Amino acid sequence: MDNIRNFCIIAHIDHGKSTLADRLMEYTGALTQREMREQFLDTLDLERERGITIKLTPVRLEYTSIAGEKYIFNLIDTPGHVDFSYEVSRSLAACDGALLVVDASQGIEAQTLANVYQAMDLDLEIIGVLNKIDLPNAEPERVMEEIEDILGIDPDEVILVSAKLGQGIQDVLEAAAAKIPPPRGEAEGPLKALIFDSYFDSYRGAISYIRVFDGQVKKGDIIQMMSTGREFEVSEVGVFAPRMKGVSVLKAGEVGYLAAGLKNVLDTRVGDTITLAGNPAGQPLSGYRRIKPVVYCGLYPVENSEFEKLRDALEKLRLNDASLQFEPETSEALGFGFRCGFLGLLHMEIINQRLEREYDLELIVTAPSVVYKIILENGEVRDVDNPAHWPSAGETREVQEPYVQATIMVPDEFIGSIMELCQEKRGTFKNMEYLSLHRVMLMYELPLSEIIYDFFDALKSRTKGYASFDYEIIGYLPSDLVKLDIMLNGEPVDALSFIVHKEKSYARARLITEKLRKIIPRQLYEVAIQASIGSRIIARESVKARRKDVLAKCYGGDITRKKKLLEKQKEGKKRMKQIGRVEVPKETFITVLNMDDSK
Amino acid sequence: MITTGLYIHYPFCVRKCSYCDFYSVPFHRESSEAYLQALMQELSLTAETRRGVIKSIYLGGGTPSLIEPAFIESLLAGIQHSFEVGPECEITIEMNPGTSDPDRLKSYKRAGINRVSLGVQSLHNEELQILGRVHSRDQVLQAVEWINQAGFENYGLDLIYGIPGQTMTKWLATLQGAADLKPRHLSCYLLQMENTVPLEAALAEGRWKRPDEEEEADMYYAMLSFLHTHNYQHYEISNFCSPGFSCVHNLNYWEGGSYIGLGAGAVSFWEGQRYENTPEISAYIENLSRGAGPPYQVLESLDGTALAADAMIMGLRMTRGINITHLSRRLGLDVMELFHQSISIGLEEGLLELNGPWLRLTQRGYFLSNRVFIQMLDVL
Repeated sequence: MDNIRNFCIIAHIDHGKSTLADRLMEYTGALTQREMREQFLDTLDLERERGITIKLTPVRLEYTSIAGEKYIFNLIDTPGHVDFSYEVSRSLAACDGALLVVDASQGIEAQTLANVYQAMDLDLEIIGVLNKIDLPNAEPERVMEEIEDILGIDPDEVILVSAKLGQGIQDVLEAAAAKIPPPRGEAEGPLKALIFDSYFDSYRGAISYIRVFDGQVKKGDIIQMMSTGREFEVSEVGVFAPRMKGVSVLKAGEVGYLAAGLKNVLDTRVGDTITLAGNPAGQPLSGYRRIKPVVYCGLYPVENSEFEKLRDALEKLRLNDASLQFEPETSEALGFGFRCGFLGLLHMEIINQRLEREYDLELIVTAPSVVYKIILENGEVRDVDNPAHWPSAGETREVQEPYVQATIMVPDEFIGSIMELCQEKRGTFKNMEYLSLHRVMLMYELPLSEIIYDFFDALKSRTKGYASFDYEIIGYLPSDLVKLDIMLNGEPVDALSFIVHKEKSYARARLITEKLRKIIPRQLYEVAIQASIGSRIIARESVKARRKDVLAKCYGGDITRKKKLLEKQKEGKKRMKQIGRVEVPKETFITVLNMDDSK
Repeated sequence: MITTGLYIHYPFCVRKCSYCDFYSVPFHRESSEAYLQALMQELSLTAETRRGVIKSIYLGGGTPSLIEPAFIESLLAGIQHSFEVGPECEITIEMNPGTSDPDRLKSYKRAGINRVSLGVQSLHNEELQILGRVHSRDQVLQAVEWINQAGFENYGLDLIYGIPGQTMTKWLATLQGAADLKPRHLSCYLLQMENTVPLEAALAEGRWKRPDEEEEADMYYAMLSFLHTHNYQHYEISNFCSPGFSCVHNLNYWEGGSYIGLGAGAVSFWEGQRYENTPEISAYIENLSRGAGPPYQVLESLDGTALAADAMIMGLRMTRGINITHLSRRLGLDVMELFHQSISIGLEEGLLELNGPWLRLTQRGYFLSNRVFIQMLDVL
């Protein structure tokens, strides 16, 4: 146990976390050059494409120090996006130390801070790593100062690295060996193992990624999940070397995986503690909570007949992603579909893309919604995550919506435009602090509904990409909200309704009806688009009737080509959704919330 | 023996028009001569395998009026020699104003050409310029005079509307000018271009603005009523004629008849298959000069249902429509049953009408006909 080091890498997005992990693997020989491909730990195609980490992937490295001592390093990569902050916190809990990677040209960013504070709360030993020192615009002195001032880390202890060029990698490994404490735990005590991730393998069932704190676990043991009390027989334990490799036993201090013929990842909940049924631990490890989705939307197949296929696909995705929630719902406009809950917008986008790509589904996504709390006249409190279930004004005593505390870091020249943006988004200013001479940290309280859609994009574009942003949900506050309905040819389209602050309702209604006019193609008859609150129409537009849809010229020589044009037109028509007598493109439903007028 | 149309492609042009995506190359005397040699070779090769009574011959391009009359004479003689040519065979040559003269026209007539299709496009010089045409309004008037002088009774004019910058007034003026020339036939096309043509690029740069959907539709329907009052019959979406002067060659396409295409890029339809010769002039000449057939590809092979869909899409272009009973008999299947749903939708939308056995587009349906045709593709 003395020579085991369990640590993770924490960093703001794009600061080079995955590249550093690659170099550490390469240096320790965990991967041969031939096996190396960029960002080995990011296994999903989407992760590689977007350069972000979604799923956690642990890896075991064997390192012999300069002094000749042999070590086992368990390195746990963490997701870098705020949607997955619970997963970050669980992977931190599996570690005894953390490498804090900061980009030498960017400095400390919002997510760096959020993650570091979490690591400090868990008493992890933090090793500062200044990455990208090879960049021409690197400012190591300035960034070191920030690290010292804000995080209290001694600049002399910070390691200078270029993960890209492979500089400073040995220093990082030496520091990990020397400074990160070995795991403490009772090797002889009752088993306590933390599940920090899980994934579904079609042959072995749900696999838990675990850190053993006390005791040991081996094949054949009967284990118990402490949050549910359910028991399973262990069929396999192993380590990540870096691919999964079976071992006879996992002991206190070790990181590895455990398979127990679990049919469902819901049986292996991230944050839960595993113990032995025959010799259970008294108390579980701290910190487990059920994760609740914060954003909901409707997912509907374009072809109604694909409903069952969508259900199968969602069930399969949930096997790998316990945070995904869904239940069937019906829309008058869209037919049968699912109401799905996500950790955030990125999570929602990823699931949607995986459904379309991996399961070949054509989907309609309705505008995302947060969960509102509605206090009815009779005192009943109702959670509403779907505008279709919004009670009428007469029934409602008070409406509350979730708020977040947002941390935004920017060069001070952008303070004005950030404040303006937060104002537009109904934010309340809380605090401002200088991080260094020209960098500030702004704290705002904002409604979650205002930041889930395009806030981050707006932030980036108003600050030339310099702003970083993180948030945490702080609770519910009363708000003056109304439901806006959209009608096509006088028929309300339930899937287009959304919730908006009363003061913004007129502007929104105008913007949306105008957008719909642009996105809805001309039809055989004129289409009237109206927006209403209750029975009051507050905006209207119309799409003129189609008058030209013709191939003027068609002769012997080009019949084949002209038919191909018609085929193509037919395919386009198929991607439309028929609502009453109106055909609308499937993107229509998500467009409603996209308030960036340039799109 | 079946009747068939014969299309002969001549790909050379003096200059390429800005809206054209047809396969054509700049005129060049030597390559033109080599090409015509190859054409004669293909004619005799084709006659060995495809037998039929020719009811129409169409010389298209390119600019076939660049071909010397002497060659036309031997070409038509060659056709007479290789195929059985029907007694009333319509023999058309496409011509661009400014590419011919009275003597040449007389020679064509003597050689056996009995119909001229003149590419007028517009009677406004600034519109002709935008379209990249080489001729002027005056040259059009002169060409028609020479065509008359040469004794052609049957000639047609091609016109274009929806030209960038064009207004309703200008379009009606072109129509009036065209009607004054008393052609037997008028083809009036909405300007529709591939994205790759130069005029599209110029439009994308914002040099001109093309009429919008409303204006285009207005121009179409104004044209229908204008030509109606001038005693032209509307017989296909974009085609009009004096009674008895519809274009035999094109009707054959819309009626689903067989046709043989000769020349580079020419398409044939024979026994349910569409073939296309290589559009490469050099490859075409090279193969035929050594006695081989031109390289070709099969564009599509049509079976019962696909033939039926083709017949609907092409046949409904004609204003008289399709005789469902006849078509069912010809194809050996129940057309009404096969297209039941597509037809019902068209009827319901007011784009189709049914009159006895005749199914046809309504007035509104002409300019929205793709909507109807797309429905027909549903049976595939």
